[in-house]
Amino acid sequence: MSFFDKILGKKSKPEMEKLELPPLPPLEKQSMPQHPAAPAPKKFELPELEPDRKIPTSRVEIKKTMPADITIPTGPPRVDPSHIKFPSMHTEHHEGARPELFGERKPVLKKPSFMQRAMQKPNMQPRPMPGAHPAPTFPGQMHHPAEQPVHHEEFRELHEPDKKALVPSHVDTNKPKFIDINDFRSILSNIGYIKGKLKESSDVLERLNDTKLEEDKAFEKWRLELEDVQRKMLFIDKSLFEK
Amino acid sequence: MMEIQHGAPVYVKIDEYKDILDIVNLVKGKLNEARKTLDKINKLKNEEDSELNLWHSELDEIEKKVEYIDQTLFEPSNL
Repeated sequence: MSFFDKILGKKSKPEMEKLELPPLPPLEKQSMPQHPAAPAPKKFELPELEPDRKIPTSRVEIKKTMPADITIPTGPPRVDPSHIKFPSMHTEHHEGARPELFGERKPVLKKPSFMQRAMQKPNMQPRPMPGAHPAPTFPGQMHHPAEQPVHHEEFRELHEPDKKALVPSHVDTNKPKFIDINDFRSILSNIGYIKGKLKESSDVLERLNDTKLEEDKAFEKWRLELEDVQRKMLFIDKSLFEK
Repeated sequence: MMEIQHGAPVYVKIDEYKDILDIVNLVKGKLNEARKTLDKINKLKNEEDSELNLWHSELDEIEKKVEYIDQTLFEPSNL
């Protein structure tokens, strides 16, 4: 056992077993103040109901029971629903009635809903290709029906200013472009390789994230240990020098 | 029936040539940004390593001092 163990009150197991437990402090009875006695509850007696009395239910019975000088207010006279004539829902009636009341009615343009706008096809014109040469035909080439090109309008809007700089000056963008099939294959294989590497990078990033979390936990634990050591050192300092 | 000539060069038509060039340029920019971020992370990692080494050496020093205090207090004859 070292000095610090003695200072900090750490004792070995046999010594701990030898020590007797101190007696428990005596229980003190706390005297609570006496509350005044609550008054006895009053007894309420309900009056007995008359045996023959009936509760009036209809308007006629209520009138009979009430004094003559009191009158019950009556509602609007009942009208046979078959005689009620509702105005027609057609616009002719509204158009005829509204101008008298509110002046000339302006036509209200109904805003299309989100779904309608989403379903609406964009009004895109096919891109003009002035001076385009017809695509060369190769023997054995299969003729596919004309496909609609995929337009990336947002992408174009964002990167329109840099567009001209990207295309080499000697390349005419209006003409159709062809690349060798071997180059095309190598491009495809490179794209596949890049996709695989990106997937690997994503896995590595996930692992790094886990490592970072573990590192944060370790730092927190270490900080707590350092605080504990600091408290103990302060205690030693006080014990040694303040006596 | 169309005749098939073996050994003739075969070409593939690229419809969205401009868009592909744009995207390639965008990818290049992103890769450049990724490289810069990686350099920054590497720099931070180096700083972290140097801090950890410093803390390690300080911890060794503190451990030695505590050991010395412990020995000194338990061997009063040396005082």
